[in-house]
Amino acid sequence: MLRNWWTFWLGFLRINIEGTQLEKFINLAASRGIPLYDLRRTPSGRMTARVRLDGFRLLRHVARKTNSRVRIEGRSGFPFFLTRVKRRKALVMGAFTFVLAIYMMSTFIWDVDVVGNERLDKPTILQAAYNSGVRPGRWLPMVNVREAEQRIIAEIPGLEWVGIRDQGTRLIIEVQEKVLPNRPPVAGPSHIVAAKDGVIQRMIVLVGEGKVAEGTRVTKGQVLISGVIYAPQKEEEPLKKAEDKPAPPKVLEKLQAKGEAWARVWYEQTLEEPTQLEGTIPTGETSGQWRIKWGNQEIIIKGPSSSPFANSTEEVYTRTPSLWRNLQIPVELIKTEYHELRPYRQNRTPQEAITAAQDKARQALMGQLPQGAKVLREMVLPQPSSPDKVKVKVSIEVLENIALPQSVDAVEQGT
Amino acid sequence: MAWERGKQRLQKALAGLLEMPKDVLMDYPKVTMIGNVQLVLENHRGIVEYTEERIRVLVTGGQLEIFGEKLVLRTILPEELMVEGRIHQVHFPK
Repeated sequence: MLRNWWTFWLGFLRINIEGTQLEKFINLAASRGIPLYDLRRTPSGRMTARVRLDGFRLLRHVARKTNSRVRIEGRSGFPFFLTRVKRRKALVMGAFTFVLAIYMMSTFIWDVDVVGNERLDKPTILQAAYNSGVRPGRWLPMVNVREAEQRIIAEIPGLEWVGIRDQGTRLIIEVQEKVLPNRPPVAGPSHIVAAKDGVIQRMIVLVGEGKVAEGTRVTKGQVLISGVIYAPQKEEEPLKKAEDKPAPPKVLEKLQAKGEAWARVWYEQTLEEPTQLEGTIPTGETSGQWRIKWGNQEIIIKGPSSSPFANSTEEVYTRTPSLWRNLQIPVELIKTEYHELRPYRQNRTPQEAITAAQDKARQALMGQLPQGAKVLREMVLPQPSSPDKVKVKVSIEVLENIALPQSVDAVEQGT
Repeated sequence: MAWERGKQRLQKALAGLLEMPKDVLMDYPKVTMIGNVQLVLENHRGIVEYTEERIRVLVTGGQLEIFGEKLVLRTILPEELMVEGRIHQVHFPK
C-alpha cells in the first residue's frame, strides 16, 4: 500500500521488450539495480514489464547491450498526470479559484447573533453592533472586535459587559445587562398606608411620621406613616371662636415615607367537602399510537386507531423533523399516548372528611400569604351542612408587614 | 523490511559461533513459498530461462527450476525475486 502510494508520485511506465535475449535483459537490469515489476511473457515471444520512471533511462543501456527494443505502452502516475493537467489550465484555475473562493468567503461575517439579553431587545443591540462595524458582509480581520465591544457598551446604557466571539462565519455578541437598583415603587412624596385590615403589632418608622400607635386596629388604606410633615401646632393658644377653623397646618416637608408595619391579620376560608369521594385515577396502563401527518392527511403507522380503554386521557406529542437548521420538511410525526383511567368511590367518615377539608382550606390560605408572613394561630370551626357533606371554616391569624407605599396625592384625592 | 532482515542476519551471525546458517555463510538461496501462489527467492544469481510455464534461476551451487502455469515475475531486484502464479514444482536439477 505504502509502496503503491510512493510509486504513484514517482510515476510508472509499462514497457514492451522485444528481443532474443530477454533473460539476459532481466539479469542485467537486476544487477544494475533497476527494479522490474510484473514481468509477463506475451504469446508473441515478447515481454511486458513495469518500470519506475527514474529506472527507464538506465534501461536504454541494457537494451543496447542485449540488442532488444523497448517500447513504452502506457504511463501512469503523478508526473504524467501533471503533464496532462498542464494542457488543461482552465480546469486547474477553476479548482484553485473554487478553493480560494470558499476560503475567502469563510473569512467574512455572514451572521450576527445576540445572546444573553433579557430586558434589552435584540434589534437595538444589533443596531449598535451595526454602527460599530459588526454586521454581515464585513471582512472579519477588518473588524476590531475589542473596539466594537467598547462602542456597543457606550452606545447602550443598560449593558454591563459585551463579548464578541466568532464561530466560523457567525459572530456571537454575548451581553451582560446591568443589574439596576430597585426603583422606588411610587415616585414623588408618598405615605405608607395599610394594605389590609389588621391590628398593628410593631411599627418601624424609617422616614416620615408615624400616625398609628402599636396595638391600634387599622383599616385598609389608612395612613400609617405620613410622608407630609407639618409644622408643630401651638397647643396653648385656645381657639377664640368655636366656629373658627384652625389655620391649616404649615407643610414643612414632603418626603417618601419608609418603614414597616407588622400587623396581625386574619384570613378565613370556608370549604365544603363531600364525605363520599368520586373520581378517576390512572391505572398505569398506557397505549401509544404513532401517526404521520402530511399536509391534511394522517396515516397511522403504529398502534390502535382509537383508545383501547373505556376511560382514558390522552397526551399528544408532535415532532417536526428538521433537515438542517431551520429547513423543515412538511411532515409531522405525531405520537398519542392513552392512559387508562379507573373510576373509584371512597366513603369517608365525617371526621376524615373534615380533616381533608381542613388540609385543603389551609393550603388555599397559605397560597394567599405574602412572603415573610408568620402564622400565629389557627382555628378550625366545623359548620352545619347537608348530611352527605361537611363544612369547615378555617381561620388563621398571621403576623405580616402591611406597609404599602402610596403617593401623597392619591391619598389626598381618596379622602 | 531490509532493516528487519539485517537484524535477523546479525542475530544469525551471533548464533553462528555455534551453528552458522548456510544462506549467510555461502550465499545459498533461500526460498520462501506461500502456498502454491507465491515464491520469494533470495540470493539469486540471474535468470536463465523465463517462460510462462518454466522459470530457471541461477543460484549458488547450481540452478533452481520452477514449473507452473501463468508464472509472472512480480519483482526482480539484485538479490531477490518474487514469482507469482500457479506453482506446480520447485526443482533442483543435478
